[in-house]
Parts: sequence; structure tokens; C-alpha cells
Amino acid sequence: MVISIITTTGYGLGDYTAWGPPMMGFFLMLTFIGGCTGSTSGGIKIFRFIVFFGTVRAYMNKMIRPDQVVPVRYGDTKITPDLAFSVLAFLVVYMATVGLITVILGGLGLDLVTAMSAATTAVSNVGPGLGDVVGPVGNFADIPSSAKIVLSAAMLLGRLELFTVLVLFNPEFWR
Amino acid sequence: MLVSIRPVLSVLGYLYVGLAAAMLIPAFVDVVSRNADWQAFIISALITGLVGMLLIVAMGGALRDGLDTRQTFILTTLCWVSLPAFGALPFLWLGIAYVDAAFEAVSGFTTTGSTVLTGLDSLPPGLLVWRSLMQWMGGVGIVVMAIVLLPFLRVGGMQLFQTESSDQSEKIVSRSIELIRLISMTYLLLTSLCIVLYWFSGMTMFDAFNHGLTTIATGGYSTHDNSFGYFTNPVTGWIAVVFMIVGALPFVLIIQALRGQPMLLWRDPQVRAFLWLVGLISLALTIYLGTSGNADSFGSAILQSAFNVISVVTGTGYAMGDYTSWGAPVIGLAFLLKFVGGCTGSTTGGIKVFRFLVFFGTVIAHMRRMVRPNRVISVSYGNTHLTPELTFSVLAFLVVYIGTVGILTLILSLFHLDLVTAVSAAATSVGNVGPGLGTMIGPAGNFAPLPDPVKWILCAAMLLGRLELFTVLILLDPDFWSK
Repeated sequence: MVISIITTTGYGLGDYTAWGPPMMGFFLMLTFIGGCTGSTSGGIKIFRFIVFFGTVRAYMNKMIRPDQVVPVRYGDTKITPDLAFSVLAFLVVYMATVGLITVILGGLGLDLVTAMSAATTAVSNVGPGLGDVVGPVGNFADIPSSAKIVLSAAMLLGRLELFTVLVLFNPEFWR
Repeated sequence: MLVSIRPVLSVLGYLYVGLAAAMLIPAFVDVVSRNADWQAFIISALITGLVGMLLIVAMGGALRDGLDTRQTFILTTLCWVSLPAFGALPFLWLGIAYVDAAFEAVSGFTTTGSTVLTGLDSLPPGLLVWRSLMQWMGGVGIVVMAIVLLPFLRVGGMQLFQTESSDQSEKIVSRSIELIRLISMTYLLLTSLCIVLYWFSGMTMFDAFNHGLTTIATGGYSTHDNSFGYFTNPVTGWIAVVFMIVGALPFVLIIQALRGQPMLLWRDPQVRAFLWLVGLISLALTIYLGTSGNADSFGSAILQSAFNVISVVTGTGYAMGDYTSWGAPVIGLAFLLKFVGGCTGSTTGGIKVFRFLVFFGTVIAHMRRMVRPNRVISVSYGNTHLTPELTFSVLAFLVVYIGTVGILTLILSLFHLDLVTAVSAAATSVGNVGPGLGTMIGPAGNFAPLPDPVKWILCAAMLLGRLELFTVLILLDPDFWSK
């Protein structure tokens, strides 16, 4: 079950949302994670989390001792500020996208749990959401068609790792 | 060299004595209204004052050398943890359970405004005044922290707000005193103005005093269970709207506006973005309310929209009507707005507008760089160029902020809270907003029915949010304590 969510496969073995509220929160968080880069799973991906923790650690060290230089590493590679920056920017844009889609779906009349889990599940390419309508035993057929269009766009955005799409909206790209 | 906390304790001593003096105000109110509770405040004041004086005497002269970076980090965190602990004392004497007393005091000092007390209208006046006073002191404490301490500590991009006079030297005590005096005077002036205006609009003197204290602090403690729904005069609502906005503006710019340079306020990118944001969202909500038939008249629709939007964005947490009954779109909106917050250097909580501006700027620059890798593209905020270090601190702050809310949601749902309650409680505590969403902790409910461990966790969350996360996280880093 945990593996199905993390790797964004989306198979359901029984209705796990009936296992109680702790499970619901747990699965919402898992939905974000995703497997390793270069594999077929979606989500934020493990390497970004590792880079993120490394950079934050280095940043805190810098706050204590501003004159010290602390390099960040991923495996054997040193992480350049440029890479650390892209990872952070990705994380923030990812979460902002989920937030924005939640509001749009809320605007189309979905309740908060449905809207939020649908947004997360679509951007991360997982499959089932949470709540009565889009949960693992329900399906997405019952939501309004406008919401389906929004979710389709969200799935593509997530699959293409956000920036690939966002860059097209930048007028400078076409010049 | 290990960190010496002697000067830190010395500063705390002075603060405790100040807190003890403040406890005499509710004692006085109770004496005047012939309520026996005044004893609770006098005893608490004696304990607090005594501890304070002992610290000052025992640490005598330790402050002469000033504070260095690490001591300032410890001081900031200890302040916000220990002042609520003493602030909770009067509640204990009045027979409120320890966890509730602590929750109420933390929620007060952090200007969150979530409450576990019910039947506010019938509570003794001294107790109500003490709640409001804690928020008022917390409010000015936050402004001082944001203007004097955080830029120096370079927390979450706050180095952008280092004042002209701030040098990189390690001593910050002496130059700060003048600034603190100026901030306090302005704060007092604005509060008095707010109280007088409330009074003229028809509030009783007592209500005007309490709400004046909590409006400018963007705190949100009220003297009525109905919060602002109790006051029927629309003028009162509009005064609250104006002063919540004032409480959300950068304090340094308010001081300069009062000194005859109001244009600086309007030219500030943060202020502009903030005013546009609340203006547009209020307008959209007014149209929604008008078309969905939730409001009786155009006047009340526009007031209710503006009031509730500004109350949530600034993290005040007053409620005017139960906005969660306005439909699903409003709930989603209220949830997202809890993250926003006002301008830096104000009394508000949340992520704060300048971080969003820096974030949008960097994302656009990042995308340009992806298209044309060879060009140098710089990001600026107002007239300042942003260094990579600064944009990095802002991004790290955003991720850690949202991550904290996520992890807290997970922890809270372990206590069998439903997802809406858990996620909104986490967001409202870290953002220091006040009410959550859902039937239990929504604007019409309160936090009393939550299990005790959840209340402790939310106390920690409010403090984490108030201290801008990194001020606390850094203390957990073993490197902080080693040479």
C-alpha cells in the first residue's frame, strides 16, 4: 500500500481511507514524495528532498558562522548553488501549484479534502485521492467536467516537471 | 568557547519585571469592578517580578559586553517561550487547567488569537483585559523582533531589512534602544487612536479598550463569543478594517509617514502588493456574496468580505459571521489566505508579502536563465539587487514553512482529528492567524474540545511560526552549541 502511493502507482488494496484519520494524513504526505529521478514514478522525487535537507543544514550553519564556507554534497558530487537553487525553486513551485489548483477546484464546488487531495494526486501522478468522491473506492467520474479539465492540465504539469511548461508562458521564450 | 547565557538571562530579568508591572493593570480593573480576582494578578505579579529582579541582580553587569549572534538567537527563543509561561500564571490561580492556561497565553503572546475559553461575555473583566494585554505586548514584541533582531540574525531573507544604521558589528544593544523607544511610542499612539475611535462608534469603554489593544496587534482576542458579529454598527467594522491594515504595514514606514513622508509608504513594493491583494480578493468575495445570496445588502456584503479577508490575511482572527457557511469556494480561499500574512516589520504572522515578491522575482529570473543560459539576469526588490544568498534564504523559508505545516498535519491526524481540522489547525497556528476551519475549530467554534496533547503541539507550532522557524530550528542543530 505504502509502496503503491509513494511510487505513484495508484493501485488500491481495500479502502485505506477507512483505516482512520491518521492514515488519511499519512497518505496525503506520501502522495507528495515520489520515487527516484529517472524511474517512472511522479511526485517531488527523493533526490530533491536529499538536496533540500543538505542545503538547509548548510544554510543554518552559515547563519551561525557567516564567514565559513560549507559545501553541500549529494553522494560524491558537490552541489553548486545553482543546482540547490533549482531544487528549492522546484519544491516551492510544486507546492504553490498544488495550492492554486486546490483553490480552483474549491471554486468549482468541491469540498476541501476532495479538492486538496485531487490536486495533490493529479500533480504527483498518483491516481486515487481522499474523501468520499475521489477516494480509492470512488472514482473521478462524479466531479464536474470543468474540474476534470483542470485536473487533466494538472497531471500534465506534474508529469512534465512544471518548469518545462511554465517556461512556455514566459514571453521571452518566444523571442 | 561555549555560549554564555548570563547576558541573555539579564535581559530576560528586565522583561519579567516589565511583565509583572503589566499584570497590575488587570488587577486594577478587577479592584475597580469589585471582583475578587485581583488577588490572582497581584500574586502572579509578585512571583514574576521577584524572578525578574533575582535574575537582574544575579547577572549584574553581564550585559555590559552586549550580545553576539548566538546569544541573540537564544534570547529571542527564550523570550517567546518564557513570557507566556509567566503570563499563564493568573489563569492558573483562576482555576483554569494548566494546558489551557498555557495555550491561551501562548496564543496571546504570539498574537494568534485561538482561544480555549468559552462564554467570554460572562468572564471576569480582569481576565479579559489580561488576554488583550498579552496580545498587545506580543504585538509590539514582534515588531521589535522583526526590525531589530531578525535582520541581524539573517533569518529567512530578513537581512533585506537591515536598517541604514545597522553595521555588521557584533554588538546590537545600544543602537537598538533608540529604535525600540520610537517603535513603542508609535505603537502606543496608534492604539490610543484606535480605542478612541471604537469608543466614538458606540462600543462601551471596556470593549473599546480591549479591542483597541488586540486590533493593532492583529491578535484577535475579543470580549464576546460572537467576536465582531456582536457589534452591529458598520462604522465599528470599518474602523477595525482600517486598523488591521495599519497593523499589517511595516512599522518603520508608519513612523516615517507620521514624520511627514507618507509617500515612502505608498512606494514600498510590499505595501502595494499587500493592498492590491486584499483589495482584489475582497472585491471578488463581495461579488460572490452578492450573487450567491448570502448577504442582505450591498453594504453588508462589502463590509463582511473586506473584514473577513483582512482578518484572515493579517492573521488577526476576528470573525464577522461564520464565513465557513458561505460555501466551498470560500473555505478553500480562507485556507490559502492563512498562509499569506502582512508586511515584514508589522505585527502579523504568516509567510509575509515580501517573501512572495522575492519568490516570484526569482522564479521568473530562473525561467529566463533556462531559456538563455549565458545571460546574467539579476533579481531586484524595489531598488535593491537580491544576492543569491538572500533569494536562497527566502526559498528555504518557504519550503520549511510549508513542510512544517505538512508534518504538523500528519502529527495532528495521529490524534484522530479529521483532515480539515488537522490541516487548518496546523496552518492557523504556524501562521498565527487564530480560527481554523471545520465544525470544531472554525470561526464559530473554539479550540477547547481538542485533546490535551494536541493543544501542546499547537502551542509549539504557534511559537515556531512566530519565531520564523529558523530561529528555533537552529537551536536544534548540534553545530550551534559546539565551538
